[in-house]
Amino acid sequence: MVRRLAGLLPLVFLAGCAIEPAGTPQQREAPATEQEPVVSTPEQTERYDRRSGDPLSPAAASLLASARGYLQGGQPDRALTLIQRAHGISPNAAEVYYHFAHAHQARGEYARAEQFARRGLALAGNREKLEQQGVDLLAGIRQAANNP
Amino acid sequence: MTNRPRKKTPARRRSWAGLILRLILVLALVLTVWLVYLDHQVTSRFEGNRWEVPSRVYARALELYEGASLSPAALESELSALGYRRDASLRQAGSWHRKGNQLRLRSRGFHFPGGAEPGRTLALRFDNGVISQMRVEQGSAEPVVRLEPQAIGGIYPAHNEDRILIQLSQLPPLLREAMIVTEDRDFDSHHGLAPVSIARAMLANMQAGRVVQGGSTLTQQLVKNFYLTADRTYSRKLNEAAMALLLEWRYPKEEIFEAYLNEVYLGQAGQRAIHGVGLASQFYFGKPISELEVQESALLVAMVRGPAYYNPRRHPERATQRRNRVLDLLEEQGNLSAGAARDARRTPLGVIERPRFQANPYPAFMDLVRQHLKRDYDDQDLQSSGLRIFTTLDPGVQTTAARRLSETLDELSAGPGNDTLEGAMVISRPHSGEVQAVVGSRASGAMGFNRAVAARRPIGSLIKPAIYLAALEQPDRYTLISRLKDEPFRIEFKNGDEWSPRNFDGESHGEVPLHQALSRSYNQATVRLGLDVGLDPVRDMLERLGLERRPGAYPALLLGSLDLSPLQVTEMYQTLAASGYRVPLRSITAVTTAEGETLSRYDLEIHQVVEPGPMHLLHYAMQETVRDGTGRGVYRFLPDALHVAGKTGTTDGGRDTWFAGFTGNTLGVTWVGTDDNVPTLLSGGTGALRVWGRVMADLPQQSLAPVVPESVDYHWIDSDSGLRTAENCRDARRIPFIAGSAPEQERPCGDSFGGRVQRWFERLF
Repeated sequence: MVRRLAGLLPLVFLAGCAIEPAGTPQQREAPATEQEPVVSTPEQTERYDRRSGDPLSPAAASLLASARGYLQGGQPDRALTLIQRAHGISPNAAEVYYHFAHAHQARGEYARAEQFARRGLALAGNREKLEQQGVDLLAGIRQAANNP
Repeated sequence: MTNRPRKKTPARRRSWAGLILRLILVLALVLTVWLVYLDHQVTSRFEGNRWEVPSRVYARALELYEGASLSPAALESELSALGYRRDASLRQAGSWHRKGNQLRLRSRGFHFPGGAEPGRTLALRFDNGVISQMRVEQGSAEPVVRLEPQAIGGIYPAHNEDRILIQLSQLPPLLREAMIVTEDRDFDSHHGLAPVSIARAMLANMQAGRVVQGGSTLTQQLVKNFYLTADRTYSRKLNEAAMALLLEWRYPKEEIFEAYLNEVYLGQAGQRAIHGVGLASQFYFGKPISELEVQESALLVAMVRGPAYYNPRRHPERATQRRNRVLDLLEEQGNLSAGAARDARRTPLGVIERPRFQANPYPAFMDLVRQHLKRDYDDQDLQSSGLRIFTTLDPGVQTTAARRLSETLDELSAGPGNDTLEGAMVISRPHSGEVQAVVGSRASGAMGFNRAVAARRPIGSLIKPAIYLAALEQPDRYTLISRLKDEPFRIEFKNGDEWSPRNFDGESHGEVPLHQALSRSYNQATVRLGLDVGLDPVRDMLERLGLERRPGAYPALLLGSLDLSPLQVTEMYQTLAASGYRVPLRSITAVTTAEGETLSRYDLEIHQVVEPGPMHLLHYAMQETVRDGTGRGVYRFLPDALHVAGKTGTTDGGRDTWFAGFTGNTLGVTWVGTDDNVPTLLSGGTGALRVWGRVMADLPQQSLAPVVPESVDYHWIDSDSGLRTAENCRDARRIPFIAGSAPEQERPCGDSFGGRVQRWFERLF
């Protein structure tokens, strides 16, 4: 129990990192009226180097914040409902998957927690802070799994 | 015995009295037993689950937040489906008002499985198909707000009664008064029977020469409908009277009134009987009971006497007359001012044309839902416990998909030999596996054969990504530029049979790079590759991707000689779209009781089955398919800037045409063919792809933007030699490799152009 609660500590850090200035992905591509770029734009070159997922949208961030409340209050089921809504809004944000991992860890579902943590880590990509969070999260889950 | 004259002696009187006493006692006993029996009837039914209430099925709830991809038109569509009314004053919940790109609405609250969503007044501003601003004017301010979900169907008990149970607190103003003044004036004071009403009615009937008035109280009416059969015998009348008295003795007036309101028969929707004011309100007015205006309440009350006779759709004049009579009574009683009554009488009936509460507008999707429910729930519970089932259906996506599929098949049918074309489509969200739409046939609405779920057809080239993925998992053997031989060959089987696969265009193409063999769907190169990789790894991969049953080990498997339904194909392509994570498809997210207690939840589950490196490489080749390969046609429907990955599939003679493709936010799998397995003159690229493209063009899309994994590096490769080269060389293209598998040798360019020439693959990534 204590270990599970201790597992929640990284949430505190997550809270800080949860909100990044965002251009939400929804706004990147407008519907059919866009003109074709004639020359490669920086955005195009960026795609080769797209080494991480999307930033967390503010809407999703707020849902995750509420979810953290439930996690801290020992209600992972209710947290999961909110996290899934956040996922619907920002399905490519590492933070969302980290929250899934926390919720499943709180329910003692370590295998699932690990899958979500790994997915989050892949999306964290080369963003150091986020990547480190993922690494720590995974380590925490594995440890908790070994000492239930 | 001696004969004695009879004399009234005290003893004799006593024995007469004794006899009478005994008689009375016996009668009293019989009466008591009868009453106890009736009392038991009354209480057991009233206190148990009073009604079998069908389970209700809901679509996904629309989420509103700044940045959401939503056009004002799409929101209007949703509001209309929810029965919202245009009303600039936003006087009641369930109203909205639009001015240009600004829209204000007042939402109803709803009890979701996770908790209650309160009603709010919102002000939204739209720009470029996105909510650019959202302000909560009334209600708790939240950055994300949900509208109530659309009810898309129900699971009905065998007796076909349908109800939306209401509580007295939900009643609109004056409904109670209207009902009482019209049907049972003395309801509040009598004890179940109203002798005065009976006398009054008898008088009125005698005067009129026929039955114009009933003397039954509401309680009696409730007893009649709730407990008893419809026969009109004296004994039934007697029982009814006794039970009415017992009911009133046992239960408070309000409970009886509430039960009455939930029981009263108010119309027929085909086979389905409409009971209760809750459902009647939806059926006639398309809105919840709490939102009824006084003349609308009056109409419901008016119909109690004869829902068929006073059917507002069939007999509007009669219905209006009777409704106005009810309004008169309210005015007489002082519940309505003269002015208000007059206005109400002048108001048209306001009944919606077609009941929004249609039995089953999305039968193919409901089919999927039922199959899922069957696993965890039995029919009895589903049909009678009033469960609430929350699904993933997106009605906007569903409607678009069904319409476009139908239109496109009509167009395609105009060609020769295509009269009996049919089609199916499944659309899901790539990262969550939520099924947004299921189209089972060309004809919408009809619940015929649900091809999306039940039609298993050979998938042809749709299988190829699994083969190439298996190959790419071995970077020491295969990269995207590995040369494959697209040349004829023959396989001889032990039993003497021979197999010599041919390409779709009948030609062989010599040595081709692996990515091109996939994007152009060369059969010969693919079969060679598949045999080289090994049938077992391919079969493994299919299972890993989500194929339930391990397919047999036969070479024809490599060309998709495997029968699957569009849903099963979607299950596999889901894994590709989710970057190598198996994400089981879901059509239901939660089931709750009528009171809102969660019975089941179906949460997101993910499981990594393919490493990100090989997956990324496959994504590259699948994007080439739509840019340069057999899926080129996609860009006749979609903007160039939208990145898509896809695969075409065609079987012999075009008997089956497939297209499976995904963007950043939508996965669609389409099949077009004939039920009789007759050849069409179509291919995956001309048949199924066309449907796919038309549908996807109508949906809000996000570009596919895969993350480049750590294990992958991009290098400029010279197309001819397959060696590394420099960036601005003419035949150079940028290709991903698993780290360490890229060619080491370099080749300087032939041209020295520094200029940038627009190349499709440059815009690819």
